[in-house]
Amino acid sequence: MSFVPLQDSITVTCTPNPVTRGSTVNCTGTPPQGVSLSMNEWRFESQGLTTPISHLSTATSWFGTVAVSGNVRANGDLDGAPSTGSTFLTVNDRDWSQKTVPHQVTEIQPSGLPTRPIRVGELGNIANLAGTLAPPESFSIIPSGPNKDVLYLVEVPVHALSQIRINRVALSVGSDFHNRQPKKNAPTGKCVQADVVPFVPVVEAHEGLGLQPASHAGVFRTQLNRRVPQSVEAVVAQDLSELITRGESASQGPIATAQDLAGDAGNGNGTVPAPVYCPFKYF
Amino acid sequence: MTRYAGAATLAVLIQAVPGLAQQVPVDPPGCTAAENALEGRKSGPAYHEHLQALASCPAAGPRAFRLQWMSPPVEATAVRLLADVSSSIRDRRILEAVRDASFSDNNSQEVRLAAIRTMISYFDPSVAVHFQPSPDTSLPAAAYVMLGRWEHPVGRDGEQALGPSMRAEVLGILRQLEQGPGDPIIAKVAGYLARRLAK
Repeated sequence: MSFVPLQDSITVTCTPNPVTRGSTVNCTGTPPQGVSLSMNEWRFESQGLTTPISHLSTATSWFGTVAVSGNVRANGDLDGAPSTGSTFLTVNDRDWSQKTVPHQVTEIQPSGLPTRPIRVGELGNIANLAGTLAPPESFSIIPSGPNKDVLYLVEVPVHALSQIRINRVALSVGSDFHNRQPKKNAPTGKCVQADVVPFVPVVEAHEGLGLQPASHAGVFRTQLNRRVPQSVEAVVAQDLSELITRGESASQGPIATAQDLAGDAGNGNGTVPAPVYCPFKYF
Repeated sequence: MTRYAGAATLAVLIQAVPGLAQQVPVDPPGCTAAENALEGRKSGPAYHEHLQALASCPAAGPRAFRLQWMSPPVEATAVRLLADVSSSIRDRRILEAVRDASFSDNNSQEVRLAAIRTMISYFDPSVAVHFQPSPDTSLPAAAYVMLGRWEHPVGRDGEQALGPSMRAEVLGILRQLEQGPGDPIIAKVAGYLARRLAK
């Protein structure tokens, strides 16, 4: 049995190279001087992709938007003999330091908090949530070229939500909680009934209903914006499920850090100061 | 009697008298009235008000919430609120009721997800979860779930407090839901949560 080894003499050049993710490149295959080239296939292989991209074509150029680094290979015949050539295409990250995570702050009403609170956390609390929802506007599908059918991100696929609950029932005049406080002459520093309603804006500011910078919601947003966009910038995939799974994997750590840092100062994170207020009498 | 002897006598007394060693939570006034007023209601401001009042009731609350989960409300705010107030009392009767509600194909996806959310709060009160169901059921679970953390989580023991084995029980329920037929989003979300919580 005999076989003909492929001649590695087609010169493949991609311009520009390196290129920034989301930009267009033009790759061309050229034969040695005085030799005829008949192209039959372009291929792109990358560690970042599950399946190589193959394009059966006689064209001597292959162009399109690119999102992932990899090897661009041209297969064809040089003067009738099978030959090949390749070059490594480097795709650099975009600067996503100014991108932001879509973040919504909502107050949940009715709060569902017990009308007879047993601790300060039952007067108000917050859930800082995030997930890789990857809505259609967050990604683009490359229509042609070396990264044909590759999905890459054009917006941050992570969405965040701060759900704030304020116990407006307990923190109202005449509530069981209000009536539980002494009318006046409380022991030094302890709350009286007149302190109940003014505690509402204290809770609002601490949780971050107005996105106060040092609030739970405010710190969460700041930390998400600082950590998440760049961490997901390079995520690519060949279908939406893979994009979501990879996006989740890339963002999980930064999201967890943002959630940690948005915790109470009492938890040792030191970013959200506890409200200074007189202590209430609980049930 | 020395101070030491006095303390020893007190310790013997605490062990001898049931109820002193382990305090059984008692309902504050107004719980029975809220429980009775809840009967027959499934939505509206009064329903919301009674549910919230029962969140402070370790005895009447679980009784009332169990009945609500057996025949859950339809209105979105009522479903959400039922899950919230159920999360605030850690009680075996509610856990069993939300387990059944999460398995029941007769319940809407919204109710089943709310039941799962309540179970998660029992597993770890600081874990927050929000569901974003989509008509596209082909996506991985991460596309439907937002996970997070409660600051100042709520939760008090009910009359039938949950023991530490409850965490394994919740994981077991989630894994069963993952294997269950029917709604693919319920199965995906349950499996995803079981994996994330087990970490």
